[in-house]
Amino acid sequence: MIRLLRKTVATPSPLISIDPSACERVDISVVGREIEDHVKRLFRGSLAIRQVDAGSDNAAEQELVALSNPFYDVERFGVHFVASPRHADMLMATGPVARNMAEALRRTYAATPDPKFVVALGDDAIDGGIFRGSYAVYDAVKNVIPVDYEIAGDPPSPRAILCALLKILETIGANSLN
Amino acid sequence: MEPLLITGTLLLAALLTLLMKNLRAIELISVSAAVAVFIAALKIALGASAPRASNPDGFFSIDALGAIIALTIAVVGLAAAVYSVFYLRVEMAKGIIGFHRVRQYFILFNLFLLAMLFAVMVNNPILMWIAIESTTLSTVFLISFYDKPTALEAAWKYLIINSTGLLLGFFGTLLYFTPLGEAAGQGLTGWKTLAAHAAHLDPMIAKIAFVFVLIGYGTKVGLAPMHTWLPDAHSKAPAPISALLSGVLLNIALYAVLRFKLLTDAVTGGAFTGKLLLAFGLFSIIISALIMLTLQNYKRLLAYSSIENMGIAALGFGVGGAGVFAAILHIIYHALVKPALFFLAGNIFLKYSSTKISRISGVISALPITAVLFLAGFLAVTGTPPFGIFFTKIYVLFACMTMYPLAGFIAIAAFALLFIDFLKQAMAMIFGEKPAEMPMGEISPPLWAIPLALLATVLLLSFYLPEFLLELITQAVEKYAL
Amino acid sequence: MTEFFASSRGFVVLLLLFAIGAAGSLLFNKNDRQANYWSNLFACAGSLWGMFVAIGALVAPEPVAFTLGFSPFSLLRFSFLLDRLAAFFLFVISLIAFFCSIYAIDYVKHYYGKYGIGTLGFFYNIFIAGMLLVASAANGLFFLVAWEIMSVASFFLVIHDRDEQENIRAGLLYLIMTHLGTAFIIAAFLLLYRSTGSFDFSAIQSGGAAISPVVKNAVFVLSLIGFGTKAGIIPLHVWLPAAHPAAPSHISGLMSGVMIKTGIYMMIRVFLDLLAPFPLWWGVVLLIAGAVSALLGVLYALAEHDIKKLLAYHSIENIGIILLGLGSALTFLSLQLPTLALLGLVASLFHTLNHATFKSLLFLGAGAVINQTHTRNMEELGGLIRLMPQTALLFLTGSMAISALPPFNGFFSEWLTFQSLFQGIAATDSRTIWVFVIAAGSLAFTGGLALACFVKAFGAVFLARPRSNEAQHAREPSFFMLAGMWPLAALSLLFGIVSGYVANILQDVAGTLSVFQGFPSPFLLAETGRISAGGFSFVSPPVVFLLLLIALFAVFTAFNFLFFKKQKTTFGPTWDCGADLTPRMEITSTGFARSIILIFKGIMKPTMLKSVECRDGETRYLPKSREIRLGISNIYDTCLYKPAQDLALRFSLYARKMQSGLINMYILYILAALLGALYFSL
Repeated sequence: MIRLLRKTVATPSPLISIDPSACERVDISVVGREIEDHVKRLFRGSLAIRQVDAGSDNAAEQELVALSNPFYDVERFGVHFVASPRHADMLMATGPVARNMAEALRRTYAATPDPKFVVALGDDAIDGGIFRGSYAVYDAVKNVIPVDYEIAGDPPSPRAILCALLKILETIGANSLN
Repeated sequence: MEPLLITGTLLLAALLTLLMKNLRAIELISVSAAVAVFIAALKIALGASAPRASNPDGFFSIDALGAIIALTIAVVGLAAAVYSVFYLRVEMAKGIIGFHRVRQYFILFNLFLLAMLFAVMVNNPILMWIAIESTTLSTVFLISFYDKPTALEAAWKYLIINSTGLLLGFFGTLLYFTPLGEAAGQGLTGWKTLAAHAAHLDPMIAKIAFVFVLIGYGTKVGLAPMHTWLPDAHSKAPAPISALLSGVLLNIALYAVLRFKLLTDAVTGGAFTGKLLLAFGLFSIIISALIMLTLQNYKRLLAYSSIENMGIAALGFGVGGAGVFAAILHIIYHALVKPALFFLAGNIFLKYSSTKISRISGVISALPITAVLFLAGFLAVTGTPPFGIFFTKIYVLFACMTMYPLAGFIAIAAFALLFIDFLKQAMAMIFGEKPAEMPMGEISPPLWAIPLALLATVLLLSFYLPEFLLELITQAVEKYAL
Repeated sequence: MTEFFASSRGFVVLLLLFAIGAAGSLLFNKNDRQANYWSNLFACAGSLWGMFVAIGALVAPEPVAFTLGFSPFSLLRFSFLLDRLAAFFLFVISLIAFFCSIYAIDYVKHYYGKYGIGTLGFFYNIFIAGMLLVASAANGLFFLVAWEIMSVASFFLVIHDRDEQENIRAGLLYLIMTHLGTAFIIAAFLLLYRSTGSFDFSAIQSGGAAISPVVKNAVFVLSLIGFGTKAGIIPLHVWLPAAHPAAPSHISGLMSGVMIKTGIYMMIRVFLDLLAPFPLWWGVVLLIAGAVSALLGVLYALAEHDIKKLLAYHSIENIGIILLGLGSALTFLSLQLPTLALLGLVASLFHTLNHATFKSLLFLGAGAVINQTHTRNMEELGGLIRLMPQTALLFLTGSMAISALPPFNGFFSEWLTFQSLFQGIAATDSRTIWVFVIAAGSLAFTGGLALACFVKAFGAVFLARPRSNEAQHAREPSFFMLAGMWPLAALSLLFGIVSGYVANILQDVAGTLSVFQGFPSPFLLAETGRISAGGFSFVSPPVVFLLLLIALFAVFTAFNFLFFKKQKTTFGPTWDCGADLTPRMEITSTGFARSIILIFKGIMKPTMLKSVECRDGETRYLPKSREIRLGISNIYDTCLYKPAQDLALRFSLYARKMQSGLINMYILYILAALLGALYFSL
């Protein structure tokens, strides 16, 4: 816990901001190859992501699902969406954390083995987005579990997610060098 | 002296009962007569066991086997008398019978005892035949005691079949008088006189005579296929009468057959009569083993068990040697166990008012002591150690095995089947759930104390035979084993 | 001192202890507590005394023989012979009875007020005394008496829980089977009597030469069936899986642990001691019977989900293993290989001892579980390791021992059995080699399946989560129950570690049999506790034990210091995908065994019952619950016992037609009998 706290303190802003227009222009295969390089180095060739829907409106899920379609096909870069947090290196939490889903989120976090990274995906997950202030939500994933990185967008496009993932991996790589 | 005393006592008891108007007095008279008879019979047995007791050829003459049988009659008679008192009290309380029926019961009871004892004691085949016939007559009304149609039918069958059988027996008896010639006219012809002349008997006539006697008295013994009256009569009579019928009456008829067997053996040798007895005994065992499997009435079950046990005794006498010893002991044990079982069946009947096995369940809850004793009696009668019938069965079997191995194997198989039959039926009755409205507990202590005493006696006799009894058995074996 | 124990006076004291125990508990029938303590304490004292008697007879230089009392029957003599074989069995019986009695003190408390403890205690004492008499009788008739007393007493113990109709049926089946068995034994003894003129074992033994081969063979077959019924050889085993679950658990432990061994004892006594020499096929028959019983027994156990029935089937399996040893002993003897025969006999005796310890332990453990959870169905148990850790450990010990895992005792006796079978393959020619190959194969197979079965049993009962409300509220059994089980577990381990010495003692026991006289063959050596099978191979139990310890330690340290060096272990709850974990998620014991059963469906003829309950009765698209029942059809009932029963019933109905009720017919019978008899006599 202390380690996590220190980690959150060490990374003042977990938000991964990317220039959308720049992202529009990049070639997916190039980004993908870079991701693959990082994954090979940091995760021995396979990054396992567990996606947690914490009360999302399914917009972010659509985009995440798109990542696996033949166009993007992230699996070729070594990124997998897995069925259990026990297998995951990274949690991707979406949605503003509805009250009913908070416990599920916490349990998923607890069940993910260390070392683990938590990414809040989409504006809802970062600060509640349009649901902010509702009695039914906790407003942000970080209010429930520690969050390492955030990917903005409502929802972020698959291309944006890929770019952000690359950035996250670069950050992780940089941190691990430190 | 004692035979006269017995005859007198029982006659007097019957007469007094006829005159009495008081129930308690009737009960007292019958029980005290039974006690007196018991003491007299014991004295007879003790006297007969005296080393080489003289056996005068008088009106009454009792040999060792006769003394044993007389003693069993007296013991069972005493037990039955006491049991009857309490049994009939319950029936009167239930309103099934009235005072007149009770009086009639005790008159016939005493006459029945008298006839049986007379048959054993008297020293003349004709008189013995009359006495045995009169046991039939005295018990007919006891079998039809409840005046139900089925009981009347049973009594009628009993009368007809037994009379037919005994008539054949009478014919056989007369054939034994053929060699007497001049001697026949001189006074009462005793067994000794007959035995003295037996050697002059024509072998052919001797064989025919024995066949007639065996079939005739065999009917009374209950040997298959002449046994047909027995299940009906035993199941319809009141429990104490069934006990007497099954426990001792059958023995008397068997005793008669044995006496004629001695006469015949003098001419034909033991093999002929032995084989006949063996065949009928084995057949009885097989038939009862088979039929018991599908019986639905527990008193009939006990009746068939009697057929089986008579079969064992016949088998034992048939094979001779150690078989005779075993058969005599078997008769003693059976005479004690079977009445106990009939008394217990009477208890069950009093409680459940039914003789159908399917209607009886949970006896162990309703009548705990009776149930335990019934189980013990079942084990005793089927020949389970430590009860003595086990040893007698084994002895009969091994006597059988040395002479006729095949018969031995068949008998073993039949015994196993019999045990299974009996066990199956007994378990169905004793365990399970008792009818909900049935009150718990025994009816009255004497009703279970008497069978308990009988079973305890059997257990005691299984491991310890009193001196006089052993002596009597030895004498009897000497006389009847060829 | 030992002379006193192993004498007639010592034996009388032994019998008196049980007699007082039996009589006293009847007297105290009204008071459950007194009856309980009285009967079980006297049973304890008696068994303890019995152990001393047995040890006294074991160390006595000569067999102790004496006669007690007298009987009115000339052929019945209450004569006793305590040679080493009898003493060994006396020891086993007393040992197990001692611990079962301790266990019983607390166990029978749950019968208070329900059934009479007095009668239970009465028959319990009689039962133990009966077994001791069976093992020490030296007269055929006396033996039969003891045998029947033992059987009848155990029958009453089986039906003690008499409100259950099923128990009554089980008792009925048990007594019927045991009585049929006794009928065969009686026939066998009568044949022996016919040939030798005596029921005394010594006379039969000395007159053995006079027995013709035909009679000998008949006696063999009859007594194999008779004693085999008691021992539970397939297909005579049908009573065993019925009676063991019905009896109170300490009774099951005794019945399964030692009573069925009396059948083995009598087989050794009759075949090896009384009837030797014998033809080759006897041993072959025993080997086949053993192989079949072992393999089928364990297969049926696998299919069972009633824990006590499972254990009962394992008894059949272990009787099979014991018979393999005995059968090889007989085979070797008729092939004039006495040293190898000694090996086989030692193997079977050793397995007898071992099976007695671990099987009674398992039954007592199962009893503790059942006492707490009130169910024998393993599908309703589970998770008890957390609630009853000691019981779980004890049951695990028993399971490992029965699965023949070293260093527990089961391994070493099975190893010896294997050795004797391998020796059979190596040393015999084509006449018998095939049967040894089959036997060894079936034994190997049996071992593997037994392990699978106990993985199933232990897993279903003690691991995972409780599958019923009762199982959730189980508690550790009380003091005396544990006190009865712990020593048995310790003995299972101890007999394993010192098995070399035990085998040596057993060699002495077996060597005193007359068939082994004159062969100075110290075949099994126990130097430093090593069991050696004649240079062919050897095993050293203490070394095995040490190696196992070292291996365990090595694996533990290797994992800790090599693989998990940098890693930190954290404990968290099971990942349940958000749904709560329920017992329904666990694998059932039926499911566990299903695949193995289906492999053997040719032999076992499993029946599968599937039923689906739908939410919507008409369309049946939405199932609400599915149920699958895997059963094993009882081919012995349908192919052997049912037809026999039907035949008897048919004959019975046929015979009953005779009793037609028509008096004319009755008179006709008399006439027919008369004519028949006349025809015969003229």
